[in-house]
Amino acid sequence: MRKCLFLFLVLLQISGQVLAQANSDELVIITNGSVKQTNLTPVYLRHVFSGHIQHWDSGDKIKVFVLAPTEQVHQTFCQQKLKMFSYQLERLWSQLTYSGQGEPPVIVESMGELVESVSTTPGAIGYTYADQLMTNTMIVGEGAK
Amino acid sequence: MKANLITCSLTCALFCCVSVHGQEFSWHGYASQGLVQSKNSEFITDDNDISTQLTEIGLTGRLQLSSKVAVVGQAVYLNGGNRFDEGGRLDFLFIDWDLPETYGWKSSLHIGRFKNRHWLYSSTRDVPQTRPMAVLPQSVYSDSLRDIIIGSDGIDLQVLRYNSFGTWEINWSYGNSPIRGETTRTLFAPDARGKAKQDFVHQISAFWQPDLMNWRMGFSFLDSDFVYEPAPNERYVPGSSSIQRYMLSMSYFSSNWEINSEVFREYQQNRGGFFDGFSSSRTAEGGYIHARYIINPTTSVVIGVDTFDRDRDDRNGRRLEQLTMGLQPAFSGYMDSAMIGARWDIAPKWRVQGEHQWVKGTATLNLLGSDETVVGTNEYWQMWSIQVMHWF
Repeated sequence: MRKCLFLFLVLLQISGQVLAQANSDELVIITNGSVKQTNLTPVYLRHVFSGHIQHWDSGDKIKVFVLAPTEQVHQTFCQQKLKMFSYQLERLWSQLTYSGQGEPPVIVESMGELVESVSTTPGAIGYTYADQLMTNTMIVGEGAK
Repeated sequence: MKANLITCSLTCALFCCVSVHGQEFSWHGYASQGLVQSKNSEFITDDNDISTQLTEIGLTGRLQLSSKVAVVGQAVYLNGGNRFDEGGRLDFLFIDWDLPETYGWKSSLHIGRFKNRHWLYSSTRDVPQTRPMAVLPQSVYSDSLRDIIIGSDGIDLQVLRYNSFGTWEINWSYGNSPIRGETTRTLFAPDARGKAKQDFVHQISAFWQPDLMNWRMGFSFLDSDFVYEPAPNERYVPGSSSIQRYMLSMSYFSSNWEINSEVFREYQQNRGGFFDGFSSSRTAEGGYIHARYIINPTTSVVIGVDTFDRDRDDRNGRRLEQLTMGLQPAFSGYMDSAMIGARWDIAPKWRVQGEHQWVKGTATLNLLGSDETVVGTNEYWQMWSIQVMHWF
């Protein structure tokens, strides 16, 4: 009986660690602290990242930061959070940019740079791992408190 | 000359604004150069040799006046050999006005020279990195009519709604396009000295993409009238032409495959022009399907087929040949092609793209099938190209 209880506690500990690891690996969408809008549904966020929505309700310009389309993290983000493939997103950006209807996202080289850019740019939005937040950023959409 | 002058003036005006509103101005561009050859055809060149006449350069600017209003424009330089006139163009210059959201519908109004947004590739047909190939399917994107179908001077309304059922996009536009002399001859007759004018072009399109984003389906309708005004002492007489096109489109996206297709039916009625009392009508049909296999984020290959019948009641072109007493061969009544291509992103914002097309027939080289391009083309012909492009 003691052995069973010990085994149960060990499994519980391992599963807890796995869950904690999964949470820290989870991608979340973050905005600059200046963004006061809270009604950000997954569909709304998809249109922000695809360039169809370019201003917050306050009228402030939305500045989107992402990693390069060839980065695995970016591809995972597109599929998990936007429910599309990164090449679809690239196509939408190109169509908007070269038909004059919008600005493409700013592509940064690392996750650290992405978080820092969102943190320091008013109206900015981007994504990161849940455990890599900085001051003046907040999680929006799924995962927001 | 006049068009080039207007292009330069408007572009300069747009860029002069940069100094005033520097922080609110953004610009992007692209440049591509390629090698191209058409064999047994004068589609690209008259001599069938390998040519460098595959150049596309474009500059797009956007001046954001407020959160709701912007002025946007694009100037391009194109050299596509015989496919269209070489030179600079002002492809679009319009006021982009975001209208207040109504019942969940977001809308934008474009006033000025706007781009055709009703077909899958129409809004970026000259932007090389947005196309699956250098020469788009000629059934839908006929290069001989490029300057007419690229956009219009007028008004364009774009409406967007998104919810848990997916995304709806509706476009409506009304306007007309200036027609160059060469296009007049393509539209009407090779020895025409008069002027063709587009009375109007009225288009509407609707697209739906479900929430999972794997599919996108669309429908579009085009209605347009043209008139021909003969030059003094010309053998032709005043004439008119009316066109209605219905088109369906479909796109499918998966992690490794992307499939795009458009099919259409087009009614055309012609009156006058060749002689008083002349009248003719026909129903053209066509479409294409392309499948792109994505090997990895930087490399992909594409295969596709394209088909066009000038008259669905004369698919083999024999009646056309009889009516013209052999001046137009039967193969100018249809065009079928197959293509294979590949592309490789050699560095961020740099791409190499190549393709080969095998073609039977000449129907889309000139929709009236009577110019020099058709005369110099065999029933079976080929075309290949390789293009290097950069964008910023």
